[in-house]
Amino acid sequence: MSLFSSIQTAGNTLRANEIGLQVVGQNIANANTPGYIREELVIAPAPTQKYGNLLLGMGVDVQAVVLKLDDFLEQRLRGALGDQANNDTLQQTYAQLEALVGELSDNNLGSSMNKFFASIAEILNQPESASVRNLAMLQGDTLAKGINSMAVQAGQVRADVNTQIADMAGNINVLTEKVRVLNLQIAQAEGGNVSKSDAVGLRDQRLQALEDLSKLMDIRTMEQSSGTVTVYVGGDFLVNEGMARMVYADFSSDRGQNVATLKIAGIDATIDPGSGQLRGLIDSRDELLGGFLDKLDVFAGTLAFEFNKVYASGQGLTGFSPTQAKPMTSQNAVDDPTEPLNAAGLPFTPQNGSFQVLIRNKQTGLTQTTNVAVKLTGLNHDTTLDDLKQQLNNIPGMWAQITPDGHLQLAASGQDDEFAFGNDTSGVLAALGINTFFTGSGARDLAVNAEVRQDPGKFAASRGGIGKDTANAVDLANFLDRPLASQDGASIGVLYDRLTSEVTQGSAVAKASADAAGTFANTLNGQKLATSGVNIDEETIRMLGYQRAYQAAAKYIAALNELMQILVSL
Amino acid sequence: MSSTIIGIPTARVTEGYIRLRMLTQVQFDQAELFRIQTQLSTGHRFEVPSEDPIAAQRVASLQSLLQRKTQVKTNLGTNQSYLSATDTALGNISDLLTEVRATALGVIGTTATDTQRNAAAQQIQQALSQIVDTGNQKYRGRYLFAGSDTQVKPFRATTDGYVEYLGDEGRIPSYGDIDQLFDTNVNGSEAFGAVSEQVRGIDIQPALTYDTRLADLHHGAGVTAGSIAVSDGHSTSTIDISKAETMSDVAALIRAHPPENRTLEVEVTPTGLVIKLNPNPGGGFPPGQDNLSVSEVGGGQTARELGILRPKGVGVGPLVGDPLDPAVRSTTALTDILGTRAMAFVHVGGRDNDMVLDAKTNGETTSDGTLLNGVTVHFVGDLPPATDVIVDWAPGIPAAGGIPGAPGTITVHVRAGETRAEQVIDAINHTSGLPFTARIDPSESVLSGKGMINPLPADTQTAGGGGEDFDQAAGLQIVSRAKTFTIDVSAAATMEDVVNTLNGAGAGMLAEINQDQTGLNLRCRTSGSDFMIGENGGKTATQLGLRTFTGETLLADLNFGRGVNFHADQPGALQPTYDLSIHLDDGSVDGVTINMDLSGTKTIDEVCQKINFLGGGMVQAGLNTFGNGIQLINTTATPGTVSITCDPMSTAAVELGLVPAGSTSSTSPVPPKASVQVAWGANSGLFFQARAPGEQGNVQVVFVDDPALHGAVVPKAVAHYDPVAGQLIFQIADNETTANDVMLALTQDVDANAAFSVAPDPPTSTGAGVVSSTTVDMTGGEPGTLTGSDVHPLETDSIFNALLRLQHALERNDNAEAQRTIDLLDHRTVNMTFSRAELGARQQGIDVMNDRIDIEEIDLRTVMSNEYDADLAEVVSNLTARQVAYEASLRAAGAIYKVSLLNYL
Repeated sequence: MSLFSSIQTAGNTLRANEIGLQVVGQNIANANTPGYIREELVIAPAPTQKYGNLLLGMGVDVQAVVLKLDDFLEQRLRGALGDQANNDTLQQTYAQLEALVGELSDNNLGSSMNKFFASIAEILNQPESASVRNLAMLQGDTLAKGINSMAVQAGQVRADVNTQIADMAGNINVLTEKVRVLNLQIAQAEGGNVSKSDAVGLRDQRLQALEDLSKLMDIRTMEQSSGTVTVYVGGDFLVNEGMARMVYADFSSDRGQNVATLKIAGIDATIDPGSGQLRGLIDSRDELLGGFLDKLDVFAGTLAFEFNKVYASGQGLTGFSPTQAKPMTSQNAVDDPTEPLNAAGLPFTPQNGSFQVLIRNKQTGLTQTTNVAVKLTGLNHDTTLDDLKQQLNNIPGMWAQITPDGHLQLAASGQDDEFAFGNDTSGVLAALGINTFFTGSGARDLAVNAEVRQDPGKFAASRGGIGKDTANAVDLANFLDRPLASQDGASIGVLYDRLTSEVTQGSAVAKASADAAGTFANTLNGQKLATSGVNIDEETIRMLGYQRAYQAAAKYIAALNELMQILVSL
Repeated sequence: MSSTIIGIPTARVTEGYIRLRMLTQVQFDQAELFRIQTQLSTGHRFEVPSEDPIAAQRVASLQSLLQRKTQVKTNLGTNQSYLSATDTALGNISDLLTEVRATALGVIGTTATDTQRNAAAQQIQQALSQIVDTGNQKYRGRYLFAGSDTQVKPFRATTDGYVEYLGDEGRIPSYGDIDQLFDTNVNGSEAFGAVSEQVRGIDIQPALTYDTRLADLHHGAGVTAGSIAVSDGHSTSTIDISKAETMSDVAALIRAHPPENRTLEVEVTPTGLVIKLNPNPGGGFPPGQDNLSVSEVGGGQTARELGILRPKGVGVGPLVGDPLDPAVRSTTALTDILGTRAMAFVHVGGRDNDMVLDAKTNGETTSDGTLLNGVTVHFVGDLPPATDVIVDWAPGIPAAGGIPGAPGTITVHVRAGETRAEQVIDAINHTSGLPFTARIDPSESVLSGKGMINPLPADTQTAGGGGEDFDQAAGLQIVSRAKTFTIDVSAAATMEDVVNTLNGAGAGMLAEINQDQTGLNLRCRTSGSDFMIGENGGKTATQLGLRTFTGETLLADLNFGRGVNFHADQPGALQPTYDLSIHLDDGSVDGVTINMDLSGTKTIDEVCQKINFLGGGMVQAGLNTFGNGIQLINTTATPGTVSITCDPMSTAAVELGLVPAGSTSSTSPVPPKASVQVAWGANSGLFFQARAPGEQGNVQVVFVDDPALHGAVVPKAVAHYDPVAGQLIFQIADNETTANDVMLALTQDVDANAAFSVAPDPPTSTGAGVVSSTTVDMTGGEPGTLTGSDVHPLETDSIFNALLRLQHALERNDNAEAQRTIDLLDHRTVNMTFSRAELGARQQGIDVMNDRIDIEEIDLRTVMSNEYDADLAEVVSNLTARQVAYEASLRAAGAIYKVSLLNYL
């Protein structure tokens, strides 16, 4: 015990307070730095010294500078941030889709459908008018193009989302690389628990990187004793100590589009993002947009087939009179003309039934009707395209052949003959694409049949013969509300409502989820800030404390100095 | 951006936290302010449906409904204009008719001069052409009165002075509301009566076939899609019939789904289904316990509609279904009407080998009396390896003269297990003289009969033949526009062919399958002309029920309803009374004269019966073989001419068409006598002729070589007349007897000479040529036949008809006809008034619908506004509140930021 040792103790005090002020300064400096973790000086009374039978304190001992961080909270926050990013992404996609559907606007698909069916109702008002039929054809065309364009646009959104997914590999790699580098630096700085202080600054950066990574996908981290963290996604690690695995985008095809799947290099494992923006993007692409496109396809296909089924039983103002040199060709083809028609590879499936062929002599105006059976009971010999061709060829005035690629071709064999179709209970005409209004089987290829486009007078409004009445148009005008057996009694109007309301409801749900996830993440962030954030007043109070202690220690040294002076001057 | 403010942590408040919180707050408040601002600027409560999905869904469906109602309003507006144009046109016609009527009445039955009458006729003609023009009125591109064929000019004044309607009877419906149709036109038939009401044919009873569609059963009412349950009394099988299109499908489906461990045979007979339960092969249950039943599934009605509902069962069966009454369709084959063909069903175990035998003709027997029902089809497996099939046909005993006869047997020799069904079918179809054809059972056919005949099928009998064949060969006659059209339907195969032939004949008639789909209508679309439909030597018109002059025709309807006036019915007639006397040339000098009182008869049949009765077998009355009218045939032994003389006090003979109008008597042409020419070589020609007219002269002249006559000097020929066999026989010596010998022989036989004469042919022939064995038929012998005229003309009850006939009546100064046509005109005027009233009601209906749509639209818009439109007062107060709150929070934040310990250091 000596004055020197007391001075030494005071010196320690000064140093401790200087360090304290340094920490306070650092905190104040970074009060507004995002992601900054408040530092705290850990001080303790210095070890005691035995002096005779006394134990004397040796002043203060600066033990460490640590980061004020709640690890558990940090893990939860990361999860919440991932969920938030996931939900935000979904919501954004929904918002785009909702805008695409444009449910409440004046020129959405619903309006196009109403206009189309209204234009058919107009045929009833003026059955003789070719221009009214032309308008119906044009409205049908608008509807078809509307559906095409919706499919194309939804596909575009999907492609954009896919690009984001592919680009995400780069973002992930940047972050994992950062974590890897920081891992090394932190291990080096902290010397593997040798230092009691945290590698301040470095750890902040790593936390920020991990937080950013967790916004992209659901990650799990585990801190090693060396101070490094291992980052897992799914069951595979992305970063382990000083090693990082790269992520790359692997491309394949889905629903006619190029799609990217993120995989971990080296082990080629597909990343299961769990949550985060990546999950949001994948779900947007596969479930949301993919599902929407699927439903739109089903909707367009149902519209085409069911409308055509009714339409194909009708006759226009004029019949068909193609020549053998330039025959009428079915829109759809079979894979094998010797297979039953319901298993021959047509895009739509015909059923057991029959249809009529009407051959009309243009000179006399007299019509010859022939019943054509389409046997598809599976009990006897089922009708194949070959059989159908045979039956059609047996009709006087009709000529039929099958092209090598499975299309049925028809022509009127006499110069004065024209033909039309009627009463198709089998749906085979609609399935083959003969005497149909729409062509195509999905949202992208839906179009108006060229036969009708070239001659709108062929619009099949009649059911009593070529140019006779409007009985078919009566049914077609009301098609929107017609219960469809293939859809369990739902009408095309109901199908459309389902399609749009699913988007609307989904969007509303996504919005609510995004709100909830955002609030939760913000709440956790608030809690984190409560622990790790800087309070200037608090720091000021500390600063004042260190200041005062420093002053007192200086005074103490002065006092000791005086004592030393006295001793020296003895 | 979050719309909720985060909670305050319990631990510490830090700079970062304050910042986060302030930022959130500012974002939230500003977002809210902009949301309110958007509500103000658009007036909508929400912009994106997801803001309020449920309301948005309602708004979207309301928007859609409003769009659709807009089209309905367009429909109502457009069609209101059509209907009012129609009304105006009909109004004009009404006015014209009133004028015409007044003019006509002014000159009928008065002392009007020819000039005045002609002037009136002229005026009527003008009115007529005006009405035709009005009838052809086009409005907005549509011929108003053409029916649904709106591009056809509906009325055509023909060059021969009639008016023809070329439109149809269709209606043009339009939507007066979603799912509600109304008619927007009045066709020429409704407004003008441009198509005659008659003639509507009878039910022609089409037979059920394997190809009959279910939709065509029960006269087109069809069968409800559903399932049936078939049970053998032990287990039940449920069969879904909804995919079946034809009877063949039904048969195949039932056969494919028998009750467990059993097999069924299903037959489609010409009337209905027959289901047979095959004996139980396992023998698990004694046959006595079998009870074949068919019941409905789940309260359906499919089994009943298929005619096979037998919930209590029929024991071992077979289950014979109820008649299914198929509809007549344009594709109905003419062989499938008016009767049924006898059929046999040959069931063979295994697949693709069941056969159906059909009689070639409808009915119980063939034309030569061979029985078609009850014919046994018998299979024998007795052929040697090289031969596959032999068919033997034993026709049995034909029915003749009231003796029933006995059915025959078709024996099919096969090699069991080696002969294929298609070979049997081919053999049956190539067996000459067999009145049956065979085909594979369509409900079992897979590859048209590739299945083996194994095991041999049990004997089966044909059954079900009845009715008659459609007489296609004869055709029918239509008299229209003063011309006779002979309609030849011999090439027709289907009903549509008949319809097309009739419509394409240029007779101004409208043929169609009737509304009930039971038969054919043949109606007249020419106005101003009489029309009649009669036979062309057969029974075609009668079979279709189209003949306009039949036994059932009422006398009261004859002569446009003027009927027949008998002498006895006239006031003050003295007994005995006669209407006419018939004179028959029976070969005697004076002939036979019979006075006839035809009073008391009501129909043509009764008239004929009475004539036949009074004629005592010497005259036979019936309907004309060609065309229409009553024909009288001389049935005396030597049936010469038939004459009729009217009683001066009776007009009945004229009114029955037996005597032409304006005459008091009529005589049939001299009937032709049977004759034949025969020649062997030079100078051998002979001309045989019956001495009396009549069919009994149509005999065979048979020259038979008699060895006894060879070398004989006299006679070189012997004649003999056998009236029972209808043969005039000459025994001759071939190439020795000369024509002169033959002539001599005839004169030497008393009977033969009394009935026939013979002369050299040509008359210059020497008769020295020789004759040889041959047989020739004498033809052309007919009895005297007086053919009456058709006194039951029909007319199209149209405005044009009334006017045309009125005009002609005035020109001819025929007061009775003029009066009748005035009545017709009145009747049409009343009808037109009905049409206009109905039109008015429809227009009023449109007005009501229009009003309703307007009100509905307001209601819909109100509802939509409630859902969609922002309440301005609420929005503005929200805005104010939000602004105040925002300001306050900013103020508070500022205050929080301002206060710091640093301020006090």
